[in-house]
Amino acid sequence: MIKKKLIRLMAVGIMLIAPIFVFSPDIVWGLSGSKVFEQNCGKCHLPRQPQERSDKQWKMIMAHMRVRANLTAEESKAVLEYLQSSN
Amino acid sequence: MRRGFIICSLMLLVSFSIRAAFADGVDDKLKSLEQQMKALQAQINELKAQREADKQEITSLKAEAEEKGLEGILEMPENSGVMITGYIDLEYKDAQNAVSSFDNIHFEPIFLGMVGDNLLTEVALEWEHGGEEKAEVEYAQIDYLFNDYITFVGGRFLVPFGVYNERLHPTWIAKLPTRPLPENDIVPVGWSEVGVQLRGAVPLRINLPFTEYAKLDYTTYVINGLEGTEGAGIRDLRGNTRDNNQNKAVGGRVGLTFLPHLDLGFSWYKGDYTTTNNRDLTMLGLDSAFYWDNLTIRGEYVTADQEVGALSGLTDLKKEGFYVEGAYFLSAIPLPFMNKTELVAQYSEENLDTFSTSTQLLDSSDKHRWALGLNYYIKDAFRFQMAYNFNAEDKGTKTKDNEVIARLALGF
Repeated sequence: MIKKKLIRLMAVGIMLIAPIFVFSPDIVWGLSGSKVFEQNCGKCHLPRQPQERSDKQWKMIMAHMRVRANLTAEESKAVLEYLQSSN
Repeated sequence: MRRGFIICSLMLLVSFSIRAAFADGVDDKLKSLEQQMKALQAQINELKAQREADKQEITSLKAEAEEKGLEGILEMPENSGVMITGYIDLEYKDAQNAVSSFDNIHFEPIFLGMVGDNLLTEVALEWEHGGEEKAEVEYAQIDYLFNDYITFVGGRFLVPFGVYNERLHPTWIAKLPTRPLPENDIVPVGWSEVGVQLRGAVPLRINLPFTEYAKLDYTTYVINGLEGTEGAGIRDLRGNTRDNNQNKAVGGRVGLTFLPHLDLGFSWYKGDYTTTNNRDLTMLGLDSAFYWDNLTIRGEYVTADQEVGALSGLTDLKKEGFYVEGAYFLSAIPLPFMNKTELVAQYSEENLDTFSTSTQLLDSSDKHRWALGLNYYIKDAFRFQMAYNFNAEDKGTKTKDNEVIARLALGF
């Protein structure tokens, strides 16, 4: 019963959502790395100070956060560049 | 007379000879000593130069070590590295029906190791209650960033059902010291399982008011799954490192994010939770969060259907609950302490069918809680929390068990 409900719910969701989105891998937001950092990281915790870590450490942390928070590759790259240029 | 002259001459001759002989020996010695002195002076000069060079090298190494920190010691190739992060907390709780106590609930170091640009290992060890319990592996996973849109995860990982379990439960992140009710009894937070996972995110071209950009993220997994006694509480089904029923559980989450203001997510989980009886546990969840300046409102809803024995005449156990949490950061108030303070209010409730394995009786446990609290941020990842929980049972003895909790939490 729940399985049927689940399939129906997913089908309806996809039908509603699909027409208004177009997958866009080359999207350019024009947002600065600091803005992406503030908007994404600040959702769950206060953004950390760039000076807290070295370039290499930020690289590891951003790989960790890309997985944990499902950041896009572009978001992850933009935030990493901001952190490494500000520490 | 002549004889005396000869004797004197001989004596003088002997005297001069002896003197000459001594004089030759002293000169040789002096020359030898002079050479030794010169050699010693050269050695001293050489040692002085060496000492100066050593001093310069030590100064240079010190500067390099300070600059690189731990990496100076754990020197690794350019694209690889190891680091430790994590969190620790201290709590004081005074509840109506319990003895007040300090409790060092969590110490959780997290080890990150990166090999190249796209391979990461994450290992979180967890000591609870000041080491009262054995250290446990909360997660130990390999993340392979296959391309921009797909990441493979394998190992023991936090189950991405909703967002509280995977992202919000660490004590330096959670807005309140206690978890919302359904995030303890239905989604058994601190829930990690062994298996494999695919996940990722794609940017979306969308033009909606108040939206700077949007993205779709997904996670799907196959795991050993929750397993244990038929009809047991879901929380008691955790902790299986190996599958024992030839049935893998599957699940996932799909999220839509409209930055910077809105997150939406849908989660599912399904698996046989018994060893031999083929009883399924199915869970569905919705999560959402809204952000506007200093205000965050988030909530999650979860429903679970837990099959129990048909012979007992009982139907499936239904379990559902939700929470809504609002947090407002007082950073706009230009006062020394107020601008680092966050006010939090949370309401959560759950309605659980319960099953007694001994009496085979069906019962229910319904609870709700109001929680009011504040966070004072001493530093970005170091804060003091204070909360008062109004706990109430809506069925049975209707016991009230209010509690006040103070907590220091540090993310490092």
